Amino acid sequence: METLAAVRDRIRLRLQDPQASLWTNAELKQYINLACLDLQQQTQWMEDWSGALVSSGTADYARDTDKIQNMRWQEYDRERLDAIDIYELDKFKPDWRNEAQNIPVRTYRSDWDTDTLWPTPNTAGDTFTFSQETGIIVAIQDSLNAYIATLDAELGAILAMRDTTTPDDFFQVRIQYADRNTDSLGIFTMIVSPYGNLRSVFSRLPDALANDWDYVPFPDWAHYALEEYVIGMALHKEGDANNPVLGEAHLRFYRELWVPFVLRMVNSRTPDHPIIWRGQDPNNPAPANYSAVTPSYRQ
Amino acid sequence: MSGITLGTMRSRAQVNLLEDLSSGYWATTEMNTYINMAQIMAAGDILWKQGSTTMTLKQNKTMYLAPSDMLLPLRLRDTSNVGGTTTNIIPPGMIVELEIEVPSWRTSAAGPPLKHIYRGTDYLQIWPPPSNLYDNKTVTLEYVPVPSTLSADSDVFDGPLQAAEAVIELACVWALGKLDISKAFHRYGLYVQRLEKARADQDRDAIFKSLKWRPAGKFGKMHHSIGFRRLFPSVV
Repeated sequence: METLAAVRDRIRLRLQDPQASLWTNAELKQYINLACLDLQQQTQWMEDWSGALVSSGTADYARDTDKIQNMRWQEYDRERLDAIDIYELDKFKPDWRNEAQNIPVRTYRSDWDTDTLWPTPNTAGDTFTFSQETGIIVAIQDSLNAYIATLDAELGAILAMRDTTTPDDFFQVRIQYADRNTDSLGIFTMIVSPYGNLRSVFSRLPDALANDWDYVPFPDWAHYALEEYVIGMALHKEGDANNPVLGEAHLRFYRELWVPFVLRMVNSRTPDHPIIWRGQDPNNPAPANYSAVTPSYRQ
Repeated sequence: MSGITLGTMRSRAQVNLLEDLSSGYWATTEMNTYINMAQIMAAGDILWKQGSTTMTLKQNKTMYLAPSDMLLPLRLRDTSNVGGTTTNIIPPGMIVELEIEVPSWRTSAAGPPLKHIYRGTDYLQIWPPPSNLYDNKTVTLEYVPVPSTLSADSDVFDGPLQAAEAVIELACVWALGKLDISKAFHRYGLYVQRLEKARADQDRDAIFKSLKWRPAGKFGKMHHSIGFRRLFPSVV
């Protein structure tokens, strides 16, 4: 993983401005953030998920618009919720607003930052509380004074949580580093109980890079794509450094060489064999024990 | 291994650019950067190298970190030896496939791994979740790795000579971008020609047949008819 400083230094070398006489670090950081956003918008490569605790009688749930680029799907109580819009609901079920509270089967975006479940859920989702689990302290040492600190009652890194009454993966656990925009250290474990709650899977907007030690998103090899974009934007800056012809050249390298290459690599991660709509293709009948499935969004 | 070093590649590129080797328009570090950029792109387009890593499965755990140096995946093999078999392929899948074929995939009971799905930039999902039989067993992911960065002049390019020629052409494309964008894009045509020839040589070679058959990816479709017009439509 490369840091903001590492990527910026390489860009400086290519801009022949190692002393920051033409572009400040803040300017280059702004361009790098813009490059990350642009690459994500073009590739939709980064994916993330989040969860919201569902309350009985509450249909609206805030959408984290700083992170969510496009919603891929949402689940309620471990079942996919089909996305729908208000026009479709009005058309197919004019009295949908009068629906009694029940198990949600659809989700729609009722505002730019709000996801709404329909019908309104009639039960609350599972919640959980942590006891003060003792974590594993590897070492905290001051190299000058050579003392080792001990910490009490720290929350440890939780790698798995399981419902002992079922074989299911109870909590989908992921570890994420502390907010890159703060100086906080350590890791957080993001835990979403899927039972009775709302879970969202989405293509993710990149976090804004703030500090030199922040990790630049995307695999390291893709940072060369970001570099082209940053150099192109930097050369478009008004003033002594302005060179729009060369800047456009780098932006074209970005758009026409790097983005297609990144897309080729991303696309190579999905299979190319055709999806067989079993049960619908007369030449490919469903097996006897296989129930034909029509995706609900085509109904 | 072609035996061609970074220093040789750079001087070859400088000859193409009519560059004075002693006091040139392009700094040494700058040309090295272009060569390193070029070898990444060429590696993904020619597929001359294969790497692998083993991943340890955990019962009921579905998400695993993909290797950070993976450029593109080739295949995932079940090397767990559960049931005495060690060579089963775990085919790639897509979420949309599961939605259609196994609508209840989210709540599938644990069992033998049947599909793997790449999720986002970092993760690989195994479906269904591995059962207790697969706890602490391994699967092997084979993939095309990002080439090692060449930094010293004596560093040897880790690939066939044909690929090195393509890398040199592509490095010249970036170098020329500094002077004349139209020349650079015309030079890109030469890179694509080198690329096609390198791939053709590789595809004829029985040793590399295994790279042609790869369950993961649209790569084959995209690259069997690789061409200047396809890769770079705005020029022609």
